[in-house]
Amino acid sequence: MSLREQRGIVSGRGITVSFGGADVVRSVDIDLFEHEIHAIVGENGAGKSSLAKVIAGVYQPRAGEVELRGEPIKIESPREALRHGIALIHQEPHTFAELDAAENIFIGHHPKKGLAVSWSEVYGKAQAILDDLGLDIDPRANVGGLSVAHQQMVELASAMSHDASVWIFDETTAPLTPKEVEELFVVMRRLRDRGCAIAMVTHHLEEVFAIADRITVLRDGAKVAELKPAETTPGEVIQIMVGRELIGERFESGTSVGAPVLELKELSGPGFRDVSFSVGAGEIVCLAGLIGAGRTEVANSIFGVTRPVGGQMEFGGEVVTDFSAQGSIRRGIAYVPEDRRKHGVLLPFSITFNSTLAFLSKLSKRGWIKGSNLTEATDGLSKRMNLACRDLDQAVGELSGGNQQKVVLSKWLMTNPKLLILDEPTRGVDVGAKHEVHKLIREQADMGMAVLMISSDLTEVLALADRVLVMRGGRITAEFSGANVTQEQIMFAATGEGVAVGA
Amino acid sequence: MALKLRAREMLPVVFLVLVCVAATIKEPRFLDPKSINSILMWMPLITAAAMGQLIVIVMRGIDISIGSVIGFSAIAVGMILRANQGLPVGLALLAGVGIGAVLGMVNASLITWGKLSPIVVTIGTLTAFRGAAFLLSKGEQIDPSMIPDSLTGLASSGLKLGPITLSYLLIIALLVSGLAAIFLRYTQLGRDIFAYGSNPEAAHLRGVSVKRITFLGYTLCGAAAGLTGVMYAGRFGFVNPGTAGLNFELNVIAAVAIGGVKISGGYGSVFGVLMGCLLLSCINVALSVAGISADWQMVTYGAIILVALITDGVSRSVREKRLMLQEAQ
Amino acid sequence: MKSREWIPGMLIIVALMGFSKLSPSFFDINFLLANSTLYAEIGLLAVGMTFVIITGNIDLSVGSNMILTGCLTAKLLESGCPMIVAIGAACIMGTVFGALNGWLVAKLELPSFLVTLGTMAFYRGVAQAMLGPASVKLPPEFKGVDGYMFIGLPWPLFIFVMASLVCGLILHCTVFGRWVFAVGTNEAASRYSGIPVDRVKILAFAMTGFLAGVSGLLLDSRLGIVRHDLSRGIELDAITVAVLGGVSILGGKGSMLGTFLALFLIAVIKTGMGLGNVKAEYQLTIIGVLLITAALAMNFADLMQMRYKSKKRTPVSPA
Repeated sequence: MSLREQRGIVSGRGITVSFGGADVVRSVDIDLFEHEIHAIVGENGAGKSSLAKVIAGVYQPRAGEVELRGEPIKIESPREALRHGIALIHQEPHTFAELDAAENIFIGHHPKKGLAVSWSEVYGKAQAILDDLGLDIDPRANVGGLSVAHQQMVELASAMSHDASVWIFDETTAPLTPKEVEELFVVMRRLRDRGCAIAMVTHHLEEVFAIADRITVLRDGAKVAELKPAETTPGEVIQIMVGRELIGERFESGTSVGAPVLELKELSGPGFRDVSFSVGAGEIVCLAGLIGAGRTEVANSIFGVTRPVGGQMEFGGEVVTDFSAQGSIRRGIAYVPEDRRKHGVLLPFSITFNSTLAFLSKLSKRGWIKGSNLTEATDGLSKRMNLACRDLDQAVGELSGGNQQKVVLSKWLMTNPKLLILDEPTRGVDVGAKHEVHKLIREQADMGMAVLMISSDLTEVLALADRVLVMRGGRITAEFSGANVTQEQIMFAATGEGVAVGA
Repeated sequence: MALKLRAREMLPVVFLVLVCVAATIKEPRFLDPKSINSILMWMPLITAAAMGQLIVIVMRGIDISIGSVIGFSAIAVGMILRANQGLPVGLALLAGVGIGAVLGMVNASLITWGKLSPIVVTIGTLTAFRGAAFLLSKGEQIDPSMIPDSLTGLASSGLKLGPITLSYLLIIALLVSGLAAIFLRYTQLGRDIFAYGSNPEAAHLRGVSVKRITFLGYTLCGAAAGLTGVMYAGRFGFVNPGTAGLNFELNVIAAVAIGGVKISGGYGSVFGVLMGCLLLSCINVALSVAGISADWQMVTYGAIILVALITDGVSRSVREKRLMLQEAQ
Repeated sequence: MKSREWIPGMLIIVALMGFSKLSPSFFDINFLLANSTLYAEIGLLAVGMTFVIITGNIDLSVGSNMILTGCLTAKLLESGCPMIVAIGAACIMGTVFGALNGWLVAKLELPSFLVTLGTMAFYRGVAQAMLGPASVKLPPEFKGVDGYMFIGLPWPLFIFVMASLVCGLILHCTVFGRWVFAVGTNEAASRYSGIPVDRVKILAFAMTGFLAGVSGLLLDSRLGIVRHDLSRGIELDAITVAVLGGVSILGGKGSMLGTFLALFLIAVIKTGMGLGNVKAEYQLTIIGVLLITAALAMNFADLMQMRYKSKKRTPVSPA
């Protein structure tokens, strides 16, 4: 027994993962034991997903090794992990929408009679696996028509068909309703009772305490605690999660809050409901919460990339009816999106090209571009931002993350917006650039700009926010004044622990 | 084989009924054995070629070059027959399959290893293969006297069901359809093609070899077109390097598109494509029975492709809107 | 000038050198001008194609559009419509047919190669259904535009040069031009930057349609007679010119200068083949092979450029 206590069937020894030179996981030891559900928790960006993905073969560690039943192994790909019996269940299931559930389970290894696919076996075995998991899914149903929860279950069944004995659930509960989470837990317990080793990555502490047998807490990429749920409390875990000393300085507001620029009245849309708040001129309002709480969705709707379906939005005192990105820019809304490479920059084009993209019409005369205007406008801003580049014709793809973000900020500051929406403005940005970006945001607010910032980085929220709104499950659940709030208070509200202050 | 009739397969069936009813009202002769025979005569070529296109479109590709593959194979096999008058028909058909497969492999190699877009490659080979047919035949036509009766007999004789004749060509085309159905439904590679067309990244994660199925898909498409070329020689009794198979890609893509095959990949059935081919054949015969000139063919193909596409696009955007509203509820 | 434009530029010189062995007239400017005039229609279509391909789409219907407008205009003129009205009508018709493609691609989010494959059959089919095997003669005063010179250039060539100049300016010096590149590079990022993506696509297709309409007029005037089956495969020529000129079929890359140079390259090659008595069918084959080779060469050039710049890029950060 003591041996088993020391070594799991799968264990990681000194796992270190790096991206772009920065270590996101630092020398972590972890053991997954049979008959046990092991929760890996931490703030957004603490490295929990990266750690899980090393075990599942998605990422290769820079240092350290994975052992399977005491033998060191190299897992080059998720497929190879599956061959070792290690299955990864994603948040967004990787399914084949046009094919039915049974076939989704067996893609790549259909049961055959001779060379021919035996459909009776496909359906028979699929039904058996689904029954075994206690799932009420018709193996002949088209997967495209199933709910996300059921799609996850189909993916799970597929791993089951490979006889997986180690399961990694990476934020699997994020897109699910509470009832669906309960159903998933039934399946997870069933797997555990059968002797499987299970790892779950999550931010939701109530889930951890409902199901986990062991908790590993990560902070800034390092393992800070391994606990048993029976011997601790959610409050203690949160304190361990955020327990770093506050390193960042706070950028105090240098101006008083002016008239509301943006006012949402019970706005509902895809992914959020009845959201009401206002942002005043010169004010920085932060939307905090866990990933999947609906914050980015709110921002998308305000900017008009998606259309809200209910409620009202007022901008500068006028009710907005035409939701479109072009309309938003005309009104004076700027939006720095979360996914920089997908939505923020055009990687092959120059700094000037990118910086002026949203303001081209104003920098041109009747549609004709004057090159010197563009360079001048870009030059001014890039100097102000301390942009590190060879020259302004350098392709944005060649810049570091922090400098790319400065280009996106230039693009929007150039439009001289009344409202600046920032979604995770310093993700993947190095510490120096981060400080500069924070300073810049505060300066803009002090000049009278309204700022709505979405951030999962609590030190960032505490450094900048005049007001903090916490979202959970698509709704606003708490509001704090930025000067007095603590990291613990925000985390409690975001995870649903403790008492929420009225919305 | 469980035949799942979905809405997508209903579209050609509905059109088929509409066309037949309209044609019969306009001209009752449409139901005569004579016109039914000409419908059945019209079908084999397009059906055989469409099965290859079905495979390619299911895996998110397209092959525009098939018209020229048909032309080249018809010329090449015609020349083989000219040189060896006694060649058995079966061997001639096999030669067509082989020649088509080789041309298909040219497309396949450029797409798989040259990493070029299938549109560019097959537009290029559309003309390249046509020119190759000229080069091979030195611009000369293969005259009717050179095509053995055994080959033309595939078109002129067949199984008789009362006044209706199921020509051997039709039987060959149906055999090809059967093979395509078996390949797509019962082989690992067939299922991999669907998986890849449905979700390329997920298919890769599950160990589907993308290169292998891309190569195979375009090769099979070429092989089907090559066979069609020999059938063409049998049906028309002569082969002109300039006109054999010209614009055939349009008929075939129209049949596949209206046959319920998803343009975005991952879904398509042999049954739907068969219905699409039957629909096209009926439209053609209906036009001629109703005394509308053959000059209306091209515009009909264009219209059919567009109708199929627009139906797809509109139904998708309606579905997406509904989903978004649901999600917001 | 980027590496992609060097390729057609150098190839022109190589081709000229090679063909001059066939006939010394390859260094006679008048001979070259007279022959290039034959390719003005291809050139106009290629200029439009450049826009469409840079947005990440393709237009296979340009040839059919050209023939349909050509036939409709001929019919108008035949029925006694004044010339200036007919010319205006042709431009409008071409634009509308092009915009229809764009609308289907942008609003219904359909793949452009299928939409335009459908309209390729449809537009030419309308011309065929309308005219049948008959041909329409153009009135004498409308004929022979290629015989007239303007500032030393035959009119069709002059129109092509002007069109590529104007379109080059639009592509490289206007807001719309930048949007075209942005949409072809990253559609989502373009939407997030407030670019009216749908409108950009529709406009690009409409411009191509307009130029196809103008080509239809030139064709009418040059030949003096139209039939539905003229200029088959001209869309292939246009696409080949664009690709040869360095326009990436994946979108986001290309220049008008490249297309302009590539047109002359094609003109030189086709003239050379004509002088060398290469039959029309083989010429087509050579163009097909050239298209594929050009696409392969561009891929290779990009690969080399990437190797050359093999400075380590920052790896993708975790999502």
